[in-house]
Amino acid sequence: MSTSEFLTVVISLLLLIPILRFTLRRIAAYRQHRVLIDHRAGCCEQIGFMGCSTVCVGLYSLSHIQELLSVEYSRYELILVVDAASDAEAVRQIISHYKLVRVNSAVADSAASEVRALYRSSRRTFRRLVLLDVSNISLYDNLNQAVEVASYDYILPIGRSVSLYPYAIEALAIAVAAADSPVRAFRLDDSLSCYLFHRDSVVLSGGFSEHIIYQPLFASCPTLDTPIVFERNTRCAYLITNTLIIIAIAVYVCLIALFGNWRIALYIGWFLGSVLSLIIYYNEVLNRGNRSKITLLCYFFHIISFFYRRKFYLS
Amino acid sequence: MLFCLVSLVRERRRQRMATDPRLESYVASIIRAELDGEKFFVVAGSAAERELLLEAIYLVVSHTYGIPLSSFRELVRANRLGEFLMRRIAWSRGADRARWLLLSSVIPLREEHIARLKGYLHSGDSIVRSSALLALLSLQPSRALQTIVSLNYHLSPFDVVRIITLLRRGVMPIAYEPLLKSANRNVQMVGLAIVRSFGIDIAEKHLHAIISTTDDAALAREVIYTLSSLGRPLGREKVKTRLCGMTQAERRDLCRYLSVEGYSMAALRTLFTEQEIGLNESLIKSYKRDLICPQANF
Repeated sequence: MSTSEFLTVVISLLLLIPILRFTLRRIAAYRQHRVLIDHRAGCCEQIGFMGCSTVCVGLYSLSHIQELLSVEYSRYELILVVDAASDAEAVRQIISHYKLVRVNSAVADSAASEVRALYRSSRRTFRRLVLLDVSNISLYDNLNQAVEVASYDYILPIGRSVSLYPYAIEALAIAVAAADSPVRAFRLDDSLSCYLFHRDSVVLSGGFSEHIIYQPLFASCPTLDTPIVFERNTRCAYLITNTLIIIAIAVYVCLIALFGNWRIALYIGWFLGSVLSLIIYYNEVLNRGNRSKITLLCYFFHIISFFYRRKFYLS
Repeated sequence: MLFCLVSLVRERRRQRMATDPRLESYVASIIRAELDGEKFFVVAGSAAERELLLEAIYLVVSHTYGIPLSSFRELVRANRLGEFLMRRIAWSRGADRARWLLLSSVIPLREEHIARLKGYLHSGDSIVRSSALLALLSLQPSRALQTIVSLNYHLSPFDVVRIITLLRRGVMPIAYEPLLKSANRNVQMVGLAIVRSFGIDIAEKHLHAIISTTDDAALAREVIYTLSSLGRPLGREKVKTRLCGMTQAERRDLCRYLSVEGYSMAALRTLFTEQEIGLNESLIKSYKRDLICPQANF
């Protein structure tokens, strides 16, 4: 075996092993979760008094809101942070659809506050929805305002294009309740930079910012393997993953042309084939349909996470 | 790649089983037989059919109330489902083993099989332990207390929720008083969960007795949360003493929990400092609405 062949094999294995490990751990966690969330388990009751406030900034789609509200877990709420001045019609639709009424808020009453109003629903069915109307300030300030009005101790910030897996909140509750020590944060998804934070930890670290996860408090936050969130197909995801695929094929072709070595071509082909099989297997188990491109993105960011932890952001 | 191929085939088989028409026909036959007061009987020709039969029985029993397990005795004996289950449980691992254990909870098993299930109560895998516990509680409801006392680990909050679910389904007839008076922590936790889940206000005196006597801080905290979920007053000296023993973070969490449960500012002032309450004043206020509101900006 020549040096270049040896290097090809080593690099392929170095990339393949973490991808394989990531896939198997995720699938094992998902299967375990499916057994735990058995239809006899009655998991809509609170588990260990844990409550979760999901925060979403700039979400105006009624169908997506309804999807996020369909969580069965009892101690759960959805906080929408919107700017009524920028899209008054959409906010009006949300208020009318969910019968929201403006309520007292010490945060909104303060003269210097960027919060214009706080709304809760007058209908019991929609009591878990909270609407926060803010002046359009930075994403992180919006999240901090949402933490001020959140009812529960755990905050799950998610992006506009992100959805929750079925029984995701129950999975979080089980993980928090089973933890040996108080949980400051859980790392949920590298590709989406998604975390579950404890409110106290956010306050102690000075509030949300893009560098919050670099704080010492979150240096060793555990990773939850159970799939919690996933990104709906976005234009950006297609763009990035198509670019990656093209780059990979281009590199492959260049390497074959450069080395003219069929063995190297075989090893690289084996590596790409293995990754593709893992993608198909992963999507099949998680019932994600034809979302291979997003899975490839997950693998890419998982490899990157060994060298660099992405800043906290919402898509 | 070979590994993925094999795993994919197994996964496809699993998914196909969920939509297998034989499963639907078994479920329909079982329901029809129960409604007509007859016994459902079929002879499974293969391992796949045995598995489908078990899934069908599990589906029906878990979605209904009052079907006695004894009505499946002949079916289990004729198809040797007990032996089939024990083999599958022994050969599998992790989530698969937990699934087989859950399936065993709806089958009338022989005593020697139930004794083998007890071995899984002490498994290193928490999900296997949890499923084995549920199976044993379903199969031997009269020995539920002894089973819980025999555990050598603390029940997790999720285990307690699952036990309460069995109670709600009428599988286990357990009164709450002996549980609260027990010296075993797991039993007391189940008792507290029963009080919370069924909203038993009259258990208040037992809860205060636990707060006065227990040395376990975690148990005392659980009792305080239980009292607050019942909406009971928390002004007694013993409760305040326990609160003083909590960490700052625990006090903040409890203060927020009480705010969400609907306790007023006046009630919280008797338990917490002004600084601790100040963080929650906004939250409590936001659950209310002034009679005269300023107009919205749009």
